Amino acid sequence: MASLKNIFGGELKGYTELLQESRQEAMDRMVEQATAVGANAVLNIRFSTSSVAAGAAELFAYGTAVILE
Amino acid sequence: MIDIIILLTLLALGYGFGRYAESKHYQSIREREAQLRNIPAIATKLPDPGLRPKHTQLVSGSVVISIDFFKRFLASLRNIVGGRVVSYESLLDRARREAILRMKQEAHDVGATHIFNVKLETSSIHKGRKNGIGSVEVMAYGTAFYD
Repeated sequence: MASLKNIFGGELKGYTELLQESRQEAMDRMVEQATAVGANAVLNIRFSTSSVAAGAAELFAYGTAVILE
Repeated sequence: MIDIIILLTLLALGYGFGRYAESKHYQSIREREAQLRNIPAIATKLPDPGLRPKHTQLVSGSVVISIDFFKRFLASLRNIVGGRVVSYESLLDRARREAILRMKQEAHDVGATHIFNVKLETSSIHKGRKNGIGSVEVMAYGTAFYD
Protein backbone atom coordinates (compact mmCIF):
# COMPACT_ATOMS: atom_id res chain seq x y z
CA MET A 1 0.00 0.00 0.00
CA ALA A 2 2.73 2.42 1.00
CA SER A 3 4.81 1.52 -2.06
CA LEU A 4 1.80 2.19 -4.30
CA LYS A 5 1.39 5.59 -2.68
CA ASN A 6 5.03 6.20 -3.47
CA ILE A 7 4.05 6.22 -7.14
CA PHE A 8 0.81 8.19 -6.90
CA GLY A 9 1.64 10.43 -3.97
CA GLY A 10 -0.78 11.41 -1.23
CA GLU A 11 -1.43 10.73 2.42
CA LEU A 12 -0.41 7.41 3.98
CA LYS A 13 -3.31 7.03 6.40
CA GLY A 14 -2.02 3.75 7.82
CA TYR A 15 1.31 5.34 8.70
CA THR A 16 -0.40 8.38 10.21
CA GLU A 17 -2.43 6.15 12.50
CA LEU A 18 0.52 3.93 13.36
CA LEU A 19 2.61 6.91 14.40
CA GLN A 20 -0.24 8.45 16.37
CA GLU A 21 -0.68 5.21 18.31
CA SER A 22 3.03 4.95 18.98
CA ARG A 23 3.16 8.53 20.13
CA GLN A 24 0.27 7.88 22.49
CA GLU A 25 2.25 4.92 23.86
CA ALA A 26 5.32 7.13 24.35
CA MET A 27 3.19 9.69 26.15
CA ASP A 28 1.62 7.02 28.37
CA ARG A 29 5.09 5.84 29.37
CA MET A 30 6.12 9.40 30.13
CA VAL A 31 3.04 9.89 32.32
CA GLU A 32 3.73 6.59 34.05
CA GLN A 33 7.26 7.74 34.85
CA ALA A 34 5.98 11.09 36.11
CA THR A 35 3.44 9.34 38.35
CA ALA A 36 6.18 7.08 39.71
CA VAL A 37 8.17 10.08 40.93
CA GLY A 38 5.07 11.58 42.53
CA ALA A 39 4.35 14.36 40.07
CA ASN A 40 0.81 15.39 39.16
CA ALA A 41 1.55 17.31 35.96
CA VAL A 42 4.02 17.32 33.11
CA LEU A 43 4.88 20.70 31.66
CA ASN A 44 6.52 21.78 28.42
CA ILE A 45 6.14 18.49 26.58
CA ARG A 46 8.20 18.01 23.44
CA PHE A 47 7.93 15.33 20.79
CA SER A 48 10.67 14.01 18.61
CA THR A 49 10.83 11.37 15.88
CA SER A 50 13.80 9.64 14.36
CA SER A 51 13.92 6.88 11.81
CA VAL A 52 16.11 4.21 13.33
CA ALA A 53 16.16 1.62 10.55
CA ALA A 54 14.28 0.99 7.33
CA GLY A 55 10.64 0.56 8.34
CA ALA A 56 11.21 1.50 11.98
CA ALA A 57 10.93 4.81 13.76
CA GLU A 58 11.45 5.98 17.31
CA LEU A 59 8.83 8.21 18.86
CA PHE A 60 10.02 10.14 21.83
CA ALA A 61 8.11 12.34 24.28
CA TYR A 62 9.64 14.27 27.12
CA GLY A 63 8.70 17.01 29.53
CA THR A 64 9.20 18.40 33.01
CA ALA A 65 7.35 16.56 35.76
CA VAL A 66 6.14 18.91 38.48
CA ILE A 67 3.91 18.89 41.53
CA LEU A 68 1.22 21.54 41.09
CA GLU A 69 -0.30 22.77 44.30
CA MET B 1 13.50 -1.24 -23.80
CA ILE B 2 10.90 -2.67 -21.43
CA ASP B 3 12.58 -0.80 -18.59
CA ILE B 4 12.13 2.51 -20.38
CA ILE B 5 8.44 1.76 -20.99
CA ILE B 6 7.92 0.93 -17.31
CA LEU B 7 9.74 4.09 -16.25
CA LEU B 8 7.70 6.26 -18.60
CA THR B 9 4.44 4.65 -17.43
CA LEU B 10 5.35 5.25 -13.80
CA LEU B 11 6.30 8.85 -14.57
CA ALA B 12 3.01 9.44 -16.38
CA LEU B 13 1.01 7.84 -13.57
CA GLY B 14 2.89 9.84 -10.95
CA TYR B 15 2.45 13.08 -12.89
CA GLY B 16 -1.27 12.59 -13.48
CA PHE B 17 -2.35 11.29 -10.09
CA GLY B 18 0.15 13.39 -8.16
CA ARG B 19 -1.00 16.63 -9.76
CA TYR B 20 -4.65 15.78 -9.24
CA ALA B 21 -4.12 14.79 -5.60
CA GLU B 22 -2.07 17.90 -4.90
CA SER B 23 -4.56 20.36 -6.37
CA LYS B 24 -7.43 18.66 -4.52
CA HIS B 25 -5.47 18.69 -1.28
CA TYR B 26 -4.57 22.38 -1.63
CA GLN B 27 -8.20 23.21 -2.28
CA SER B 28 -9.32 21.38 0.85
CA ILE B 29 -6.50 23.00 2.88
CA ARG B 30 -7.58 26.49 1.80
CA GLU B 31 -11.22 25.79 2.64
CA ARG B 32 -10.46 24.46 6.10
CA GLU B 33 -7.97 27.24 6.81
CA ALA B 34 -10.71 29.76 6.15
CA GLN B 35 -13.07 27.86 8.49
CA LEU B 36 -10.59 27.62 11.36
CA ARG B 37 -9.20 31.14 11.04
CA ASN B 38 -10.87 32.14 14.32
CA ILE B 39 -8.48 29.91 16.33
CA PRO B 40 -5.04 31.49 16.16
CA ALA B 41 -2.07 29.16 16.56
CA ILE B 42 0.68 31.18 18.20
CA ALA B 43 4.30 30.16 18.68
CA THR B 44 4.78 32.32 21.80
CA LYS B 45 5.44 30.22 24.86
CA LEU B 46 3.34 32.18 27.32
CA PRO B 47 0.21 34.21 26.57
CA ASP B 48 -0.59 37.72 27.71
CA PRO B 49 -1.01 37.63 31.51
CA GLY B 50 -4.48 39.14 31.07
CA LEU B 51 -5.68 36.02 29.31
CA ARG B 52 -6.47 33.56 32.07
CA PRO B 53 -8.13 30.43 30.74
CA LYS B 54 -9.92 28.01 33.03
CA HIS B 55 -8.56 24.96 31.25
CA THR B 56 -5.65 24.05 29.07
CA GLN B 57 -5.09 20.95 27.01
CA LEU B 58 -2.43 19.46 24.80
CA VAL B 59 -3.65 19.33 21.21
CA SER B 60 -1.80 17.80 18.30
CA GLY B 61 -2.20 16.93 14.67
CA SER B 62 -0.02 14.80 12.47
CA VAL B 63 0.10 13.61 8.89
CA VAL B 64 2.30 11.30 6.84
CA ILE B 65 2.40 12.28 3.21
CA SER B 66 4.17 10.69 0.29
CA ILE B 67 5.72 12.23 -2.79
CA ASP B 68 4.75 10.87 -6.20
CA PHE B 69 7.08 9.11 -8.61
CA PHE B 70 7.29 11.99 -11.05
CA LYS B 71 8.34 14.53 -8.43
CA ARG B 72 10.87 12.17 -6.95
CA PHE B 73 12.33 11.76 -10.42
CA LEU B 74 12.52 15.55 -10.78
CA ALA B 75 14.22 15.77 -7.40
CA SER B 76 16.81 13.19 -8.40
CA LEU B 77 17.61 15.26 -11.50
CA ARG B 78 17.85 18.30 -9.22
CA ASN B 79 20.44 16.40 -7.20
CA ILE B 80 22.76 16.51 -10.19
CA VAL B 81 22.58 20.22 -10.98
CA GLY B 82 21.79 21.55 -7.50
CA GLY B 83 19.42 24.34 -6.51
CA ARG B 84 15.99 24.60 -4.95
CA VAL B 85 14.06 21.34 -4.90
CA VAL B 86 10.66 22.85 -5.63
CA SER B 87 8.91 19.49 -5.84
CA TYR B 88 9.72 18.73 -2.20
CA GLU B 89 8.85 22.26 -1.08
CA SER B 90 5.20 21.80 -2.00
CA LEU B 91 5.16 18.38 -0.28
CA LEU B 92 6.42 19.83 2.99
CA ASP B 93 4.17 22.87 2.71
CA ARG B 94 1.13 20.63 2.31
CA ALA B 95 2.19 18.42 5.20
CA ARG B 96 2.79 21.37 7.57
CA ARG B 97 -0.47 23.07 6.76
CA GLU B 98 -2.40 19.81 7.07
CA ALA B 99 -0.82 19.06 10.47
CA ILE B 100 -1.65 22.56 11.75
CA LEU B 101 -5.21 22.18 10.48
CA ARG B 102 -5.66 18.86 12.27
CA MET B 103 -4.33 20.39 15.47
CA LYS B 104 -6.74 23.31 15.08
CA GLN B 105 -9.60 20.90 14.42
CA GLU B 106 -8.83 19.09 17.69
CA ALA B 107 -8.74 22.44 19.48
CA HIS B 108 -12.02 23.40 17.83
CA ASP B 109 -13.63 20.15 19.06
CA VAL B 110 -12.83 20.97 22.69
CA GLY B 111 -14.07 24.53 22.17
CA ALA B 112 -10.69 26.26 22.43
CA THR B 113 -10.15 29.90 21.53
CA HIS B 114 -6.35 30.02 21.21
CA ILE B 115 -3.42 27.64 20.81
CA PHE B 116 -0.15 28.73 22.39
CA ASN B 117 3.39 27.33 22.32
CA VAL B 118 2.91 25.71 18.92
CA LYS B 119 5.76 23.50 17.81
CA LEU B 120 6.28 21.72 14.52
CA GLU B 121 8.28 18.60 14.08
CA THR B 122 9.26 17.03 10.76
CA SER B 123 10.80 13.65 10.09
CA SER B 124 11.34 11.51 7.04
CA ILE B 125 9.61 8.21 7.64
CA HIS B 126 10.06 6.11 4.59
CA LYS B 127 13.47 5.95 2.99
CA GLY B 128 13.32 4.65 -0.55
CA ARG B 129 16.06 3.39 -2.81
CA LYS B 130 19.42 5.09 -2.47
CA ASN B 131 18.16 6.57 0.79
CA GLY B 132 15.90 8.96 -1.10
CA ILE B 133 13.13 10.47 0.99
CA GLY B 134 9.80 8.89 0.08
CA SER B 135 7.46 10.28 2.68
CA VAL B 136 7.54 12.78 5.49
CA GLU B 137 5.69 13.05 8.75
CA VAL B 138 4.86 16.44 10.16
CA MET B 139 3.40 16.87 13.61
CA ALA B 140 2.07 20.09 15.08
CA TYR B 141 1.31 20.41 18.77
CA GLY B 142 0.49 23.12 21.24
CA THR B 143 -1.49 24.12 24.31
CA ALA B 144 -5.15 24.89 23.67
CA PHE B 145 -6.92 27.39 25.95
CA TYR B 146 -10.59 27.12 26.70
CA ASP B 147 -13.08 28.22 29.32
